[in-house]
Parts: sequence; C-alpha cells; structure tokens
Amino acid sequence: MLLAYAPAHACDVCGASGSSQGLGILPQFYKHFVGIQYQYRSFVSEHPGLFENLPKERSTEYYNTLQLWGKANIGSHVQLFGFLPYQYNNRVTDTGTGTYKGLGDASLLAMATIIHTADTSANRMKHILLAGGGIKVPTGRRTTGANSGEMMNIQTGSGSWDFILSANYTLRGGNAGFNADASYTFTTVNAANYKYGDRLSLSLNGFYWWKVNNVVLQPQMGIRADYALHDYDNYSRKWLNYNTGGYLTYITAGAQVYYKRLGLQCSYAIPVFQHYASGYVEATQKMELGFLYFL
Amino acid sequence: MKLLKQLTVIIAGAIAFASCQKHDDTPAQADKVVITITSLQDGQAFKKGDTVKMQGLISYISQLHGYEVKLTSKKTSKELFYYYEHTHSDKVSFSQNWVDTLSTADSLVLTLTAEIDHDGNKGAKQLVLTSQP
Repeated sequence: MLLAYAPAHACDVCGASGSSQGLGILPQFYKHFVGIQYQYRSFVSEHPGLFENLPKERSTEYYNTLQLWGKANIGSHVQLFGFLPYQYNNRVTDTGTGTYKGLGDASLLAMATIIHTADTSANRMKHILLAGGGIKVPTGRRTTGANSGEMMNIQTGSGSWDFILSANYTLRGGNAGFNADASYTFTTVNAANYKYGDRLSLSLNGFYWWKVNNVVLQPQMGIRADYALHDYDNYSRKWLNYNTGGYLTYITAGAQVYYKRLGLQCSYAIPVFQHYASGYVEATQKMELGFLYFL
Repeated sequence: MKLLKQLTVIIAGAIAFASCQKHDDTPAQADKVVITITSLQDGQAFKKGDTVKMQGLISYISQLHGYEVKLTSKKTSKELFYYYEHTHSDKVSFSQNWVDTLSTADSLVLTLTAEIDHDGNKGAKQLVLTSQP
C-alpha cells in the first residue's frame, strides 16, 4: 500500500517584503561617499493549515543583503543616492531549506536640500532638511506570479518599477541632535500581475557625538516603524492577500565612527510592536554594518 | 513605552484608513467550484498493479487557495493516497498517480476538494472506483 503525502511548497504568508530604504543619519562633512553595507533580518512565520487535517506550516526566513551605495552632490542643492543590493535569502522549514540569491532591485534617489543652516558659530541650532524622490528598478531576479507555487516575499527582486518619496531632517545643537527620516514607496504591478503593497517607513533617532583628535564617535538610539499595505496576488482581479502587509516597529541602537575619510556604521534593532501578515509573521531582529569612504 | 505604542497604533490606523485597498468581494460560493476529472469514470475498475491516473481541472469564479486529492478504501476507511497543494489561481490542473497494491477486492473513493478560503468554504467531487485483484 502506498500512501503519498505531499506538503504544499508555496507559502503566501512567509517572510516579509516590507523592507524600505531609509537614509538615516547622514554625514555631511564630505560631498561624496561610497559605501558597502550588510543588512540582516529574520522572521518566524506560521501559515494556517490548508485543510483542517493538516498541521500549520512553520518556517524561519533569513534575509541577508550586501549593498553597494553612495552619495554624490550635484551642485550645492541636490544630493544623488544610489543603492545596488545583492540578496541571499533562506527559508528554513522542518523539511528543508530554500535559498533565493542574486542581485536585488537597484534604487536611485535625488534629494534636494530644502533647509541647510550655515555652519557658523552664530547658529547654535543647525538644521538640514532633504526632500526628494526616486525610483526602484526591477534589476532583481524573480520567478513567476502567485499562482506559480513560488513564495513571493523572499525572492530577490520584485519585478516592478516602484517610486519613492523621501524626506530626511536633522537637527544639531552642540554635540547632540536628532534625525527624522520618512519614505513612502508607491509600488506598481509587475509582469506576473502581482503587486506588492505600498510601504511607509518612519524613523526617529537621537544622537550624540564626540571628536577626539581625528576620530568622531557618534552613538545613536531611536525607533523605526515600517508599515506595508497588503499585496495583490492578482492585481487585475483585485485578489488582495490579507496574509501580507502590516506594521513592524523596532527600537534601534547603533553607532557611527569616522576617521579621516573612513566611516563605520552599525546598528541593531529589535521589534517592540508588530502585526504583520495578519499576525502569522513575526520579526525577530535586524542588524546593519557598513563601511563608508568619503571622496 | 505606552506613548510609543499609542503612536504606532495611531499611525497604523491613520494609514489603514487613508489607504483602503480595493479588493474582489465575491462571496464564497461552494456550488461555483467546478471539478472535472478527465482521466477516470465513476465505477471504473482496476487490478493490482494498475496505475490509477487522477487528472483534471478545478475552476472557480474567483481565487482558490488550494486543493487536495484523497483516495480512500471504502472497506477499511484507510487513506491510500493523499496530495495537497497551495494555489492562488481561479484555474488549477492536477495530475497524480497511484499504483493499485490492494490484494483484496475493494471500492476506492476518490475525493477532490478545492478550498475557496481559509474559513472552511470548499467545493468537492467524488468518484467511486473498484479494485479487483
């Protein structure tokens, strides 16, 4: 007697695509920089059993991103930012590991300097406000649509052209300051008729800096909130996937160190409030480590 | 912490309110699930060693979430074959095989079930086959 038991290989819930590109606290003492950044995020997912006789599907998703990025000032009022990520994502279940790796979606942002207090001793409080927008290009690898049996939220590319609005404000007084960063990503439908939900990211960080000889040390702490709308499995038919989207709120702590033309940035974040994918996905931690070289 | 939580809920609520998403609101209708088994007929007989080919198409007026193929022995109620698949389409084809290994005569109940949503709405079709060693 042969009893065949085949587990479902697709999971519309697992993982989270809600990763938005924030600028955070930006060093302004050089006009241009290039950098490399490593980002790590992990999630625990649980999908309800498809039929009442089937167990829940549990998995852990690990997202690893190695990203080249940089800034170039165009004149005195425009700053261009570019991001080129490489993704190495794993989904681990009781029955095995699925790996998705390759180039991610590249982004380009153009930010205009709206406010920039002159750096003179007469100004005790110094502000800088950048606002602008950009585009995310579907350079990343992706397979097919939601009906393919593939997972949508762990693929390295979205397959869609997305548009980004961004604002970044920094206030400095003496050695302390705070930074507020906001970005909204308007997603579009991809060729497989799948549409990832629009995403909003907000962050607030306080920081303090010391300068000893040529070394600047800047610890920082704050909060970050990511909110994503539901994805559409089929945008033409308006098949909304309620098991996607939601909010993730993190407490973040990190530090930046600068020495001459070199910079080191690191941060660690743990979620404090979250409700993602109707509660089926739980973020566990997030960390970033990056190096900058100022030109 | 309390302030942070309130702020998060307010922001999330405001955004959710501002961004009501259009969605297909077709109510679940189990009788609209159409299951066509193309490779088998009710009462079809098989002998030990034969391959039972279970092939066909499931369609629905809106999105399906998955389907299962189940073959059970009428005599013992034992599950002889089981397969399920997650899907996100309004049309899904299936093709599964089972080799008859039974050594005594039995009736085989083939049940195809399509899940419309995660709330228990589903459509099903059954065929009864016979196994004669």
